[in-house]
Amino acid sequence: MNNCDEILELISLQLDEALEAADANRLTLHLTHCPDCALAFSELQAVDALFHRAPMKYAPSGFTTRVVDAAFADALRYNLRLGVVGLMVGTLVISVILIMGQASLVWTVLSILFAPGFLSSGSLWMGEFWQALMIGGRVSLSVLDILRGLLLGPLLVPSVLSLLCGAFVTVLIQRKDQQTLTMT
Amino acid sequence: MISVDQEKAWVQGALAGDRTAFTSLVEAYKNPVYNLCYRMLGTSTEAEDAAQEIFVKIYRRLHTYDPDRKLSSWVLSVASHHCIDRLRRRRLQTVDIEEMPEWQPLVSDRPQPERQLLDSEQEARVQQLLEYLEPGYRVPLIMHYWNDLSYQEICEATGLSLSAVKSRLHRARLKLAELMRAHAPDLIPLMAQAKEKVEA
Repeated sequence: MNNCDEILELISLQLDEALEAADANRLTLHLTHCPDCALAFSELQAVDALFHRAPMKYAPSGFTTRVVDAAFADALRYNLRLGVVGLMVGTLVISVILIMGQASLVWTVLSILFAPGFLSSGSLWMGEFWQALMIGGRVSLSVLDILRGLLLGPLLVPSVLSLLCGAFVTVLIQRKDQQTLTMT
Repeated sequence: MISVDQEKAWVQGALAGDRTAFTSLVEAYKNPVYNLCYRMLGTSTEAEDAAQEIFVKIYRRLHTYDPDRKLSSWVLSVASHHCIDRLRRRRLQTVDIEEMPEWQPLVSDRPQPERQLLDSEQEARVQQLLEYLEPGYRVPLIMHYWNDLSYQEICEATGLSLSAVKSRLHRARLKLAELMRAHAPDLIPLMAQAKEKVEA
């Protein structure tokens, strides 16, 4: 960095009143014999004065009320969205549990109908159901039977409906958000 | 002057869902935030939209605010990042330097309405000059001139080092001086007088 570059930096500090006394003296001395830096000093002073004079822009009237309304509405939407997501996750977990239970029940019924001998092993609980699935090829239980049981299962229908309702509400909220953003 | 305790009370109140507390916070910072948005984005419509989004963001993220930090620095930090993001999204087209309109010299003895017109022209030119600067240089300049922040406060609000803040302010001024020298040498009588003095 040559001497004049260093002096230019000192000028900026001088304009911000952040120059130490020794550097201030060095600057003054340099400006008296360097016309280029003296001109630069005037120009930077002019920039400084122009920007110091530029007025502050004030927020329009009613701004605070609009902002506070928007912030609280956003928080409400955010909490609602969280609630919906929580509901969906909860529903999903319950659905899985129900599906497993339902499949166990269906399998038990099927085993009574098609392999009554298997009932003697007492297969009413889920652990045994899965155990039976592991050896599914050897018992009279097919995947199709399980699927049929699941689709027709009276407990599954409300679970799926809950999921669809959750998804629908989420889409509605997102659309509303987009409209609000467009309006603002 | 807003006390630290006052600010803490607003933050705690707002976190608890107190509308009045958040209203006070917005009321205290709406003008610095709006001005920063206007100077960064260039239009009042966009500035209002951005300022509103910033306060919504502030309310949503209030739980992440570190009470050891100055609230004004945090608010301006959120605001400046938001504006830079907006500019990035907008992919601002830099105005061609040749398209700058001719600048009329200022004459102090003009009648008042004309004087006001010149003031508004000067204001427009300040905004135009700002738009030539990279957003990273514009932010410290705005915080320095309009928000009266010290170097240290600008560091806190921008996350820049002290030397980076000094350097950006300096380079921004040099760039502005260069633009004014080339396109509006008589923008300020002081500049013209200085030039004449040096030439003489």
